Parts: sequence; C-alpha cells; structure tokens
Amino acid sequence: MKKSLHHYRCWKKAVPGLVVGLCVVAISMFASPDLGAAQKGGKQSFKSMDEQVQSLKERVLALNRELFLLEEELLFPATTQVAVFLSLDVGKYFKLDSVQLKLDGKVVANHLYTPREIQAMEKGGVHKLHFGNVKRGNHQLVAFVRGKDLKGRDFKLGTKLDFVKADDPKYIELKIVDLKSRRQAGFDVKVWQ
Amino acid sequence: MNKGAPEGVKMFRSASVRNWFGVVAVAAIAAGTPHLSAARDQHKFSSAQDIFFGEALYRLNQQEFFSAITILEVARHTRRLKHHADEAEVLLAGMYLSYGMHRAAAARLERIVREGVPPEISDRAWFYLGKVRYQRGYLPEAEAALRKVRDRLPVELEEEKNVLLANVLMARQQYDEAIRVLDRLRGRTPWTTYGRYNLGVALVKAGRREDGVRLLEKVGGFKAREEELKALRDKANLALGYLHLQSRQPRRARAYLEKVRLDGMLSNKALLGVGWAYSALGRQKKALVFWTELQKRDVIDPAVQESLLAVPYALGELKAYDQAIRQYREAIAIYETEIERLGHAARALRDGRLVEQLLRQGAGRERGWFWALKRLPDSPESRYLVHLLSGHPFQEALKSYQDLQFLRDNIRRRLADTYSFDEVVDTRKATFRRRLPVVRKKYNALNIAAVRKERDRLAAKLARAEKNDDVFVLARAREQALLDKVALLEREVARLPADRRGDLQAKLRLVRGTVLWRLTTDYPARLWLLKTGIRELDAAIAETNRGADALYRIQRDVPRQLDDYQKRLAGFRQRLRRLETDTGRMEIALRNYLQDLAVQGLRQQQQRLDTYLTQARFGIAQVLDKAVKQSEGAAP
Repeated sequence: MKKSLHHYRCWKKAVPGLVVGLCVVAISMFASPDLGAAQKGGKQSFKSMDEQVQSLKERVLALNRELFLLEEELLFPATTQVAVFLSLDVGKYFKLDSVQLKLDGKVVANHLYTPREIQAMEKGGVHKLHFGNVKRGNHQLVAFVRGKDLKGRDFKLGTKLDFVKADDPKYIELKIVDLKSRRQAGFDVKVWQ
Repeated sequence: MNKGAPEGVKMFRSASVRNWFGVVAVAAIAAGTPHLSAARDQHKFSSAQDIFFGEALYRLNQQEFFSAITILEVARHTRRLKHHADEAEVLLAGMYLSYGMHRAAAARLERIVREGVPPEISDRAWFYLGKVRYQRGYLPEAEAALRKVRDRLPVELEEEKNVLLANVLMARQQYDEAIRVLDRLRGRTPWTTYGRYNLGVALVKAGRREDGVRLLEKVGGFKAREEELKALRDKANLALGYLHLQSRQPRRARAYLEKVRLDGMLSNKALLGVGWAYSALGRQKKALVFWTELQKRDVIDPAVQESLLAVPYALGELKAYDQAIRQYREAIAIYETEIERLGHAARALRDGRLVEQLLRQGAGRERGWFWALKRLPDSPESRYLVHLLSGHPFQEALKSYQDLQFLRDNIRRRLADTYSFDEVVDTRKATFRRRLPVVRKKYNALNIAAVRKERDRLAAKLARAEKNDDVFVLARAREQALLDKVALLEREVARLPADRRGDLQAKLRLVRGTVLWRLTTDYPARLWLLKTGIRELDAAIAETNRGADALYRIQRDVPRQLDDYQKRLAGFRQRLRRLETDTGRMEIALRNYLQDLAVQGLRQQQQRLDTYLTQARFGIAQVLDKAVKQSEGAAP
C-alpha cells in the first residue's frame, strides 16, 4: 500500500485540511495502481504458461488427427466405408426437428436437433449423421425428417436412395431444400465421389 | 481501469462485441475469399462444395474449435478438399486463432500472406492476430501484428485497430506514440469515442493536461444511447472531476462529477468526489450529505470504505468532535470485520474451492478464446474478487485452464479408444487365424493342375485343327465313333465279292459324306467354341493364380499389418500418457496461478483496509488533539 500512503500524503499536501486522500478513485483514474503492477508481473509468468498450453494443444491436435486417420483406416476402410450427411438449404418451408436414417432396412441413426445445431446447419454446416461400413454391391438408404411446416404444423419428409457400393468410399448428402413451386420442403440427394 | 487492459478493452468484453467477434472472428478473416464472402455480412458460409469442409463448418458454427480443426486437418491430409483448399487454409488459421493458438495461427498466416493472399484478407488476419495477442498479454507481438495491417480494413475495423494499437502502446508506456496513433481517428464509430477517451487519458499521463482535458470533455459531453457509451461518458466526467480536484479547482470538479449518473457503475466514486469537492470549498455539511449517502452502500466498495473516513473528517472540521470520534470508531470496527472476512476468503481460496466453483460452470465443453465467465460463484470470497475475476489476466488464465480440462478429457477418451482399437485388432487376428486354414483348404480343392492339363489338351487340339484346317480334329466323340465304324465296315465290305459290294459301298460313302459335310460346315463355329473355352479356362486359371497370390500376400501381410496397428497403438498410448502427465502438470501450475492471482487481489484489499485502519486511528488522535486544544483555548 506504499502508493496509497504516498497518495494520501500528496493529497494532504495538495488540499490543505484534507485528512483522507482520494486513494482509490484517483488511483483508478491516472496513477499506476498496485494491482496493475501485480498483473503485469503475473502476465509474464502467464505468458510462459500460455506458450506451454499452446504447445500442448498442438501436440494433442496432431495426435488426435493421426488417431482419427488410424481409426478410419482400421474401422472404416475405403472399400466398405459409407457416410451419410444432412444439410439445410434456406429452410423457409421447414423447421427441422429430428431425423431417422435406415440403411438396408436397419435403423442406423436417430438424431434430435438442438437449436444450436440447427443454427450451425443454417449457417452452412453439414451434419455427419452416420459413418459406417457396408459390403460392395447394392444398398438402400431411407431417411425421414420431422419438423414443422410453414404454418407450424407437424411435417414429415422422407426420401429413398438405391446406391451401389464400390471400392471407393461412399459419401451421401441429404439436403433439405425449399421447393418454391410447391411451397414446401423436399430432399435433394447428392452422392459425393 | 486495470493496468493490463487500458480503457478501450471494456469494449471487447461487452456482449455485443464478444458475440460479434465470437461468430465472425474466423469468418471475418476469411471474408473476401470467394466462397466465404457471405460470412462478412450474414455470418453464413455459402454451400460447401466439399462435404468435409461443410462438416468442419458445422462444428465451427457451434464454436467447437478442437473438433472443427481436427476435421479440417484430416480432410486436408487425405486430400478431400478439392474445392475449398485455399479457404481451408485461411479458415484453419482463423480457427487456430479462435482456439487461443496464436502461435500456430501466426505461422499459418505468415505462409498464407507469403503465398499471396488479397490484402483484404491479410489485413483482417493481422488485425485479429494482434487482438488475440493483446488479450493474452503479448504486447510487442501484438504491436508487430497490428503494424502489418495496411489500408484495406473496413472503416470500423480500422478504427478498432488504431484503438487497439494505442492500447498496446499505452500498456508499454509509449504515450507519445499512442497519441500519434489515436490522432488518426477520424470516423464516427463507437471506437472513435473510446479512442478519444484513451487519447485523453494518454495525454494527461504524458503531461499534456490541457489537450487531454479537451478530449475528455468531448467524451463527457457525448450524447449516448447505448449503455456502454453512457458508462464511458461517466468515466470521462469522473476522470475530469478528479483531475480538477487534484488541481485545486473544486468548483469545476463538482460540475463534472455531478454529471455522472447516480445509477451507474461509477456513482460511488462520483459521490465520494462530489463530497471532496464541497469539503475543499469549506462546505462540510454539504459534503456530509453525499458521504452519509455513500456510507449506506455496500462496504465492499473502496469508495464506500473511504467514505467511512471522510464522514468523521468532515465532522471534525465542523468541530463535532464526539461524533467524529464515534464515527472513526465505527469505521475501525467495520474495517476490522472486513479484514477478518478477507482472511477467511483468502483461506478458502487457498483450499482451491473458488477455482473449482468457477470451473463447474459449463464444464466439459469446447471453448474458444472469447469464452468468458458470465456468473460469479455464490461464495463469500467471490464478492471480494468481482473486479479481479472479470479482468483479462484472470479470465485468460481461466480459459486456458478450461481448455486444459477439455484436452485432458480428450486424452483420456482417446486413450480408452486405443484399447478398443486393440481389441478390434485382436479379434481380427483371431478371425484370420480361424479362417485361413478354411480358405487354404478350399483353394487346394480347386486342383488347378488338372485344369491346366485340360487347357493344354484343348490348346493342342486347336493347334492341330488350325494347322491343316483339319475338320476331323474337331469331331465330337459320337461323330468320331461313327467315322470309325464306317471305316471298319468299309474294310469288311472290301473283302466281299464284287457283286455284293455295290449298294453297301454307296451307303457307307453317303454316311461318311454326311458326317464330313457336318464337320466342314460346323468347323468355324466349333473352332470359335474351342477358342472361347480355352479363353475361359485361361481366365479361370488367371483368377485362381490371382487368388493364390492374394492368399500368399494375405498370409504374408495381414499378420504384419495387424501387428503394425498394435505397434502404432502402443506408440499412441505412450504419447497420450506423456500428454496426460504434461497436461496434469500444466493444470496444477495454472490452478496455482489463478489462486495466487486471487489471493493477491484479496491481499491488496486487506492492505488498503489496513491503511484505512491506520488513518482512522490517526484521525481519532488528531480529533482528540483538536478537542484538547479547543478546550484549552476555551479555558479562562
């Protein structure tokens, strides 16, 4: 509290008759307070810790990426890999609530969307709904989405896709689009190569 | 105003700016690139042309930077970004920045700029890098980044950049240079107001009081609608008030201080100052009106604490010595109680309870650098630490601590994953060992040697037939038998008397002719069939050979590959364990740092109260002294 005392003396000198100095307020206006000095000292050590935290993040991210690649190679080899994505385009006629995905008659994904997730999709994000394996050959994908229509009524939308799995990974994007001519939503299915 | 964060910093912490920056920080760097230009205005990226780019955006839009970076890095590594490769680089730099990895972001940005990127993008990149570095206390580095911004920033960002650069310079005590930078502010954005305020403060600090006062007066007279600007106006008036109190101009001081809103954050300081202004004018009773009002407020506020001394001082000046002594004693009691409470709070802090409570808020989520503590824990110690907890040093350290916790959880999850993957490999090994003999047996049962022999026989037959266009080579077994029988009968008939041969020989010739005619007419078709048969056998043999090669390779490679997976997994585990240890060590260091920072904050409050306590005791002595002198003077 050296500075406060000093300040107190200054004020006593400056304004005759003042016993108490305006330590707190004046300090916070223009002087260099003790707290600031302490933070400055603290920052130096924080800086070195920040460097170390950044290094840790770099190491964890690098390792995570490598493990991700190994996981894919081991569990989802290209010859059997299939991924299904859901995205939104515009979304004027349909407010998404949930989705169910069936692959060859078997339910492989069910997802109930949070407002945060929907917002993420509305801003161009694509949700990976399913990542799995199928044998080479013919397969069928069926998707149902539930939500609200333009008037706030419950609305269900479905699509079916027959596809052939070859040696390359198969990526399927189900995009919910506004069909302006019918004033309702529909599916636009895209198979990525 | 805290030392490490000059005045304008408040703006960064405001909800509107934080939200804006939160959503667009990354996008803003990328704005200007063809596919991402929409981000600038609507915070929305245009449709992704690479599905994994879209997946990264999905995570990014939820501010899950760790996941978004991983997805994009994997996509880059596997060359899955055909259309968004350039954007991905810029986006990654922005995400590293948003994830507090400004070193990695800087390296990437340097490369992007070197490789030639439009100045609109590089300017934004340097600007945001400078901003993050500043917030993390890397002042020279922040200055270097901000100095790299040329002239392609939008007006508002340009203003903000200048304010930011001035903040950096002021934090480095380079006031004259800060003044030069802030002199450039010409726009009418809120940043200009912040800049003017900062410039005013800088000028006063640099000894150019009158220039500083002029600027502060502009800010103090500003007609503001937004709460932030109203608070800034209050700040300017408060600063002006105390400046004039210091220069013994209590009338002017009072005029400024009375402009400060009574319901604002600075009202306590203003009340205290107005009291001092009246006191300096010798109007102690008027001063008491403000100070007694202040006394009723929360004693944790330094201005209120100071008013506990100011009131008895004024009473002393009014020669109400008994009352003054009583008030000083009350002040002493309050200070002592507060000092004791602070002691308890410091002990609770050292136990680590406060940090735990802080961390419980929204635990387990991914965060970016703009994450901020929104609610203080409900504990006795946190009320003493409001200013400290909302300051940059504490918030930044807390964010790093939160990040470390997320990393630790991720490391543990991935460690568990490696064991699961190991089990998958073990299962594959077992399946391989079980299936291999069955496949081998099936292959051996194919009797490939016999197939080859048959193929060679057919090939020889074809060669014989083609050599002399010998149709008989392609005769079927039944036809060959018929021809053999005709030949036998012809020999028998030749041994008969001549008169008995006539019809028989003619009939046999007819039969032979018929067979020959069929063989001749069918020859091309039979030749084609034979060739096709040989080709099919060749294909079957090749397929079998391929199968044999595959079987050989599988027998040779699969065990090696599976062993290799397990070796890699073991390596990963080793690295993960090292990381877990390092993360744990870092967590402890950061926790201690946070605790020390908080304890230091409490200690400073305790020291201030100690000083007040001394002043109160000194005040009693002084009043007693005056009372004695008065009674001596009054004595006959």
